[in-house]
Parts: sequence; C-alpha cells; structure tokens
Amino acid sequence: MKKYPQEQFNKGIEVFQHVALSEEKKDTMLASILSGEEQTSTDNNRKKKSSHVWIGGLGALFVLGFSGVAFAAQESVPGDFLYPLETEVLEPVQELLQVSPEAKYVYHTKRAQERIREVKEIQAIYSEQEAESLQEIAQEEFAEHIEELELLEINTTLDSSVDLLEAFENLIEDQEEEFNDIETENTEPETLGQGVIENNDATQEEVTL
Amino acid sequence: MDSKLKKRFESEYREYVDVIYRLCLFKLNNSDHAYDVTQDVFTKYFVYLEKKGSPKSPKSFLYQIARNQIIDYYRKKKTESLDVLQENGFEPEEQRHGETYIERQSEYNIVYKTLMSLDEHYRDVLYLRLIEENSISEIAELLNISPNNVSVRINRGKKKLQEVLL
Repeated sequence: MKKYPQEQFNKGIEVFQHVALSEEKKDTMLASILSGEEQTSTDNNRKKKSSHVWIGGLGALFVLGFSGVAFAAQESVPGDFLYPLETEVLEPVQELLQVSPEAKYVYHTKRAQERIREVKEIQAIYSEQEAESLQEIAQEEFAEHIEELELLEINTTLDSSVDLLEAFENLIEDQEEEFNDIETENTEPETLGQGVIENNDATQEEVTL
Repeated sequence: MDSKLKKRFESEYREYVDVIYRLCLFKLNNSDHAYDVTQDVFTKYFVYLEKKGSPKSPKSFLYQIARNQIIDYYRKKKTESLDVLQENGFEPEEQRHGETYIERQSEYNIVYKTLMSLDEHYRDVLYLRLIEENSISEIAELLNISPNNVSVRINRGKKKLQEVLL
C-alpha cells in the first residue's frame, strides 16, 4: 500500500472533520422526515378510525344480538333453552330497576300474567308428562309473584295504593277467567290442564285479597 | 407526535445530522448513499421517539441505528448482482465518474484510504477518536465496549497508523 506523509494525513483529518450537509440539504431532509411522519400519523389515525368502526360495529352487533336474545328469552316458556335467562337474569334485573313500591307492584302483576301465559303455551306445545313438570315451575313462579304483590300491598302507605289494589284485583279477575278457559279446554279430568287448574286454584286462593 | 417531542427531535437532528452523515460517508464512500442512509437513520429515530419516547443517550442510539442501516445497505447491495443492476440502468460509481467520491476529494482521500487499510477493530475506534474527537468513555458507549478496550484499541491502532504513514 502507498504510504502518505503524516502532515497530509493530519490535514485530511481536519478537512474530514468539517464535512457537513448544507443547510438547504438539512432542511430538505428534515422536511422529508416530518412529512413522512405526517403520513404515518394519517395512516395511524386511519387505522385508529378503522379500529373504532370495528369496535363500534361489534358493540352494535353485541347490543343487537343481546337485545334479540333478551326478546326471545322474554317470549320463552319453561323447558325452553332461554327460559332460565328470563327468570334468572332478565327478571331479577328488571325487578331491581323498579325503585318505587308502585313500580314493583305493577311489575309483579305483569310477571304473574306472564306465568299464566306460559302455562297456556306449555299446554299447547308439550306432551302431558313434560307439561306437568313445566307447569309446576311456572306455577311456583306465579305464586312467588303473588306473595310479593301481597307484601307490597300490606306495606305500601301511598295514596295510589288503593288504585293499584283495584287494578290488581281486576287483573286477578282476568287471570281467573283465563284459568277457567284452560279448565274448559281440558275436558278430561286426567289431563294436565286440570292439574294446572287445581294448582292455580290454590294460588288463586292465596291471591284472594 | 406532540409539538414538544417534535421540537426535541428537530434539536437533536440539528445536533447530530452531520455526525451521522460523516459516519455514513466514511463507511459508504458515496455522498448520495450517505445522504439517503442518514435520512433513513433519522426517520427510524423519529418513529422510535413517537412510539417509545426519548432514548437514554440519543447520540449512541443514533449511532447504533446508523451502523445497522449501513449493514443493511451493504446486505442489499450484495443481494443485487451487478448484472441485474446494470440491466436496470445502474452504473457503478467508478464508471459514472471515473473515480469514487473520496478519490475526487483529495483532501481527505488520504485519511479514508489510510483508515480503511486498518483492521475494522482499530478503524472504528480511530475514526471516532480522530475525526469526531470523542472521549474514551463516549467511544466505549457508542461501540458498546469497555473504556479499557477502547484505550487499548486506540494505542494499537495509532501504532498501526504509524506503520502506514511516512
């Protein structure tokens, strides 16, 4: 290799130390980097927006799906896959949401009506053996709501309680008629319908105010 | 990125851009490529700042990115064969200008050729010591070696330099 004088080498070092980009080039490079960053930020924002849309979409799907399931559960009868969701989840939550005694009163009245509807449906769609056990479940639920109603009636001191009582009595009368309808439909004494009526009679006795 | 971080980046860019550019020029022997790699280094640094915040030592961090980018540059260059590059209209530096960037710049041609004749162990240490005038501890941090090792390399490197200088 060719040898160079020490002096030239030292001079070369000084020159090398002053090698630098011009201010114009520095500014151009900086602008390029920053514009690249802006592009990246835009991309990130787009990704964020996109992810927000996805999350929103999934949330909407979840809400819609849950609403659908909740609606289906409310229409279910004992023995249905969604019936436990109705009695163990939806109804307790709905009950919690009823703050005032009047609201609770109206709510339990509605639930009692709902049990009547379930009994009627069970008779129509299930075999005798299946219907018997399912009706027991519905009637137990019915009895619970009636007890709740009685307690509420005793404890309430509100002025509106008289009106509510009248309204409830009317409802019970309607329900009695419905039970009677069920009894008429089931003419044979051994049929499940009669069992329901017998049991319902017992609950109606409790209901009598 | 918030304006505070952006200002910090601009300030660090102004402070270190020439250091990184010189390093790239020394390693790549081509001003255009040195410019591109320098830009890549700071772009990566910018992205890092945005995602993870300021590193402990910006200078050694930038130096590390630069070393990796230079390695990448040579790796890519190796992957693309000369024939393929020429088919795509690429002319080697020698053919385009008749001489390399360093050969055109006689002032530091000697420095470049002399340092390049040394083993890489000594070359990097001497570059940082003689051209960038870093302290031993700074060089140790930049190269991720012990200060003792730096001192030994500088002494031995200088002896090797004496051998190639008149």
